[in-house]
Parts: sequence; structure tokens; C-alpha cells
Amino acid sequence: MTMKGFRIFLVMIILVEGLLCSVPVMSPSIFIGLSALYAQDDWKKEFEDICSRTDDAMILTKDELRILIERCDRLKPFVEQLSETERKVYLRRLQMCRDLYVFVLESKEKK
Amino acid sequence: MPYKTGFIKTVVLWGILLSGVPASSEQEFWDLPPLPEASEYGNVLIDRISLKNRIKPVAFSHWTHRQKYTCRVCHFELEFNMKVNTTEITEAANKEGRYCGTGGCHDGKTAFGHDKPYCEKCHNGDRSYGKEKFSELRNFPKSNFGNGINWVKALEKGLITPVNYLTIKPSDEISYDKGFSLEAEWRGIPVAVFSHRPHIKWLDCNNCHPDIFNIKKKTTKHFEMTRMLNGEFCGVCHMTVAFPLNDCKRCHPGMRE
Amino acid sequence: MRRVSWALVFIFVVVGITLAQSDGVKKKRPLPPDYGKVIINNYSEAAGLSAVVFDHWLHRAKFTCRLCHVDVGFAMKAGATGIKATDNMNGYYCGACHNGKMISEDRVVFDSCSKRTGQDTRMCERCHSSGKNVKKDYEFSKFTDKFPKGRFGNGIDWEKTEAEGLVKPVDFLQGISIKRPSLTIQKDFALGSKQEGMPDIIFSHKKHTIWSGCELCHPEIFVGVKRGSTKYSMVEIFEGRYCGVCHSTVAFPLIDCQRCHIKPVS
Repeated sequence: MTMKGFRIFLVMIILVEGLLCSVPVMSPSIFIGLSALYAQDDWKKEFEDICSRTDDAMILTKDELRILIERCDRLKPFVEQLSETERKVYLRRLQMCRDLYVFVLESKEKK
Repeated sequence: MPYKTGFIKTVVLWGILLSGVPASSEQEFWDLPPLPEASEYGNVLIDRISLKNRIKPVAFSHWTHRQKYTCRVCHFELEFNMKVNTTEITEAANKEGRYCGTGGCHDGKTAFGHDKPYCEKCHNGDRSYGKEKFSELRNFPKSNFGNGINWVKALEKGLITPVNYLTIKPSDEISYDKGFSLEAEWRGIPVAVFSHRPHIKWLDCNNCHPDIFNIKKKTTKHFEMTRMLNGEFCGVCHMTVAFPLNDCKRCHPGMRE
Repeated sequence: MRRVSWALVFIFVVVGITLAQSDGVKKKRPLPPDYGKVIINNYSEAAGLSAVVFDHWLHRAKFTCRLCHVDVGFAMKAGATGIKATDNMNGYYCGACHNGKMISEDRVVFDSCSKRTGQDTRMCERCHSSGKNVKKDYEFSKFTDKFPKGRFGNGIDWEKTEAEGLVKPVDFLQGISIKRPSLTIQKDFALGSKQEGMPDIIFSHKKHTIWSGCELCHPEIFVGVKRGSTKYSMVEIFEGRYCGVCHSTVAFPLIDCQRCHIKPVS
């Protein structure tokens, strides 16, 4: 391999790495789970993290709200796999918290 | 009766009625119940549990009380139901300060309490109890039916000054006095004119709305005289306590004698 | 033959209309201890038990609306949650507190739908008590004796009771509730009355957020994005929607018009 070819290869590796990681730019106050697969208690931690902002949703930015809504959507399929009771309880709680973020986002967008 | 029937049918039906009933006034078409004596009109016998407990039923006189309190005080604030024997009044409740025993009423200080020796003042089973006091009202403006007293005029003239609230002062801001006319269900009957004003002097909004008269437009339908005579709509009050339905002209001013 | 069938249709229509409209009489009001009583009967009778009778007055003195209706996940309408005995046994819904372990006021909270009871249905009847004369641990008039009184509903001014510290409703349950940053304060605002002559309503978010969480009302009950965009009137409220979701069955009832219609007409 030539030097030029090696450089091109290096650049391509870096680009692919960047795409694979797909870490979007965001405010440091919001943590994002990188994977859609949650370990035993991780899904609960993720749920608590997402839905902890319902009481002060009004001060979040539109981007922060969109991210929270996205996270809700990503967590939902996992919640649907839980046992009957847990599924019933957490689906409703997740839905309520997602709907609130959508509501606040809409009110900010229509202002 | 069919609602707004066609011309031919109206003629046929009126013909049947007129031939079958030797009536000279509209009043006789309706099955109006016989009216008691003026001094007994509005007197109610309450016997939800009295006889069961071997006590005489309570005779409650509306004309005694309405001079001192408006309908609102008892039927809104104190939550007495509009239908007799449906309010769960008990001796214990009265003694606790609810219903009749509310502070400012029959609490033993303002008026006699639920205690001996006053039992017979209420538990006498006699609808005409207190008749002798009725003559005290002889100078009140007259009316042809019910108590023979025009209570609306009596209030307007200041002959009575009933208390309008005990603890929930009615808002000065709510002074709803809209009036409107109601077309009669039968052809040939003049319109009924309804005004909120005399009603709000005695009643709270909640006394009628939304249970008796739905506030949703065009949903209180078909409240014909027959339903009122059954104790519904206007008949909740205007059969037994307020001026009775016999007094046609009070609502249908265009009615012939 | 055609005339007969038309006549029959006419009769059915008339009867239908007559039956469908309001009765024209006053509805009976529940007694103070019965106001806020909810009967839950999704599966009880099928399981051979009486329907569950739930009293709001006792629970609201101990917990906020938010704890049960947001964190624990109870729906706002009786029967809509679909609680099963297994849910309770697994520590969800009623079982979140009624688990035989939780301590409230120096007492252990009895467990619901316990596996221990077996054939003894007397334990079940503490909740599955519809139609049965079950002696309750807490008696209404004794429990609420010191609370400031109010008219209508439970006959208690719950707002004042909470403000004076006579009840301290718990808002957080370990393992179920989420630790949240505190609520941003919303200002009070006026809602225009549609009826000429009725004063406007002053709505206070602050009074509501003592008991309730944002997601309880928004958007399920109040969908409107901007103030005034959800069009509704007293008609819908009396039917049990919007404000009527709470204020016809649990919170102070709608019959006291001037509790809300207080803004002077300009």
C-alpha cells in the first residue's frame, strides 16, 4: 500500500467510526443511552432518567424535548417485552410521560 | 300528545277531546291534583324512618320557613333534596349540626333543638300543624292558588326579608336575569314566559342546573305539562311549594280565563 | 301494512327520545363519606368476590393524586386500569403499598390479594366489600373531625386541610416514584366564561400541582396546545370531561359555581 493509499484508508476508517458511533451533539445535561438493548435494570434506569423531567418540561429546549421523545420511542419496544404486569404499568407511565413532552414541544412550536 | 301534529290530525283529536270532555277552560284538560287548603299548601310530611322507629312523621311547613330563609339556604347549602323522604336526615345528623340542626337553625340556640321537650313540634304527623299562625300572613299580597300569597311580590315589597345564605355568600357578580319565551307543545296554547330574575332571588344556579334543566342548548326538550304534573322540570317546585300549575296565567300570560 | 310499520317506527322513535333525555328531576347527592367512592369490578365477580369499594377520602389524606395516578399508574376512570390479583401480589397497583411490609402511621399496611389467605375470604372482604357490611379501620367522621369543614362533596375543605398541615400527603414512594426536579411555577390565569353574566374563572396551576402532576392532565384531559385552544363549556364539564374528570367525583364538586367563577365581570 502506498502512503497516499494508507492516508485515504485512515480517513475512511475514521469516517466509518464516526458514523457507527453516531453520537449526536447535545447539551451535557441530558445523558443518552447508546444502545437500544437494555440489561436487566438498565431499562428501568433509562425510564427513570427520561421521565424525571416531566415536572420541569417547560424549561427544556425544543431539541431536548425531541431527544426525550426519541428515547421514549426507543424504550417502548423493550417495555413491551416485559411480563404482563410490568408491561401494563410501564407502558402507561411511559406513554403519559411521552405525551407530556409532545404536548410541551407543540406548545413551544406554536408560540 | 304528538308534538306539533298535522292540521287534520289536530282537528280530529280536538274533536274527540271536546266531544268527550265537557270542558270550559284549559285547566280541566289536565289531571291537576286537588289543592289542599291555603294554610296547608307546601306542608310536607317526612316519614323516611320515623314510623319505622315508632315516632310520628315530621310535618314540615314551607310557608313558615320561606319567610326566614330562601330556597337556596336549605336546598343548596344544607343539601336537602327536592324530593321528600330522599334526604338522609337522622337524629344523629341533626344533633351533629347538619340538616335541621345546622348552626343558626334548630341548634337549641337560634331555634329549638332536636331534643325533649320539643319532639312534638315536628314529629306530630299533622299536615295542618301551625295553622293558627297562618292568619299572620293575611296582609301579604294575594294570589289565587297555593298559599293564596304572592311570595314574589311579598319579597319585592320587603314584607319578608329571608336570609339568602348561611356561610356561602352568593356572588354579587352572578346576576343572571335572562328571560325567554317557550312555545307550548299544543297548538292554540299561548307561549310560556320564563324569567330568571324572580327565580335567582330565591334559588342558586345549582338548584336547577344541570340536573333539572340541562344547560346544553336544545336538550331540554319535550317538557310538556304532563311531565310537569309528574313532578319533573317546573313541577319539581311548582306542584307543591311554589305557586301551583293551576295558576296558568302566571306563566302563560296570554291565557284566557 | 306500511302505515302500521311507520306507526311502529314513530312509536319507537318517540319512546327512544323520551327515554334518552334528562329526567327533569334533581339527582341525589352522595353523603360526605360516600363522595369519591369508586366501585371497581373488572374481574371481582367473575372470581367469586364482591366488587372492590375504594374510598378516596382516606387515601387522599395520606397520598397525593400524583403518587397513585402518575407513579403507581392508576387510570382516572373506574375500571380502566384493569387491576388483577397477580398485579397486586407482584407489588404493583394496590400492591405497591398494600404489601404487608409498608409502614404507615406506625401500622403495617395489610397486603392485598395475599397468597396467605387461601380459602379465607374475610381478608379479601376488606376491599371486596360491595354490598357487604364490613367494619372499616377508619371511620369518616372520627378521621376528619379536626379538618376544616367545607360545603359539598366530602364536607371537608381539603385545600385548607393541606395548607394547615393537618394532612401531609406523601408524594414519593421508594422504588416506584422517580426523583424529579421541582415543578416550575405557572402563573394563575383567567378562563373566559361563555355565558353572558357569569364571571370568568380564575384557574390556579399552583393549587393543582400540590396534589397533581403535569402529565395527569396534559394532554389526556386538556389537549389544547395554547390557552383557549381547547374549546369546551360547562356542558362537557358536567358530563364528566375536562374539569369534570376530577371535579364531579373526587375533588370539590361542580355545584358550587362561585368556587371557580370568581373574576369580576369587567
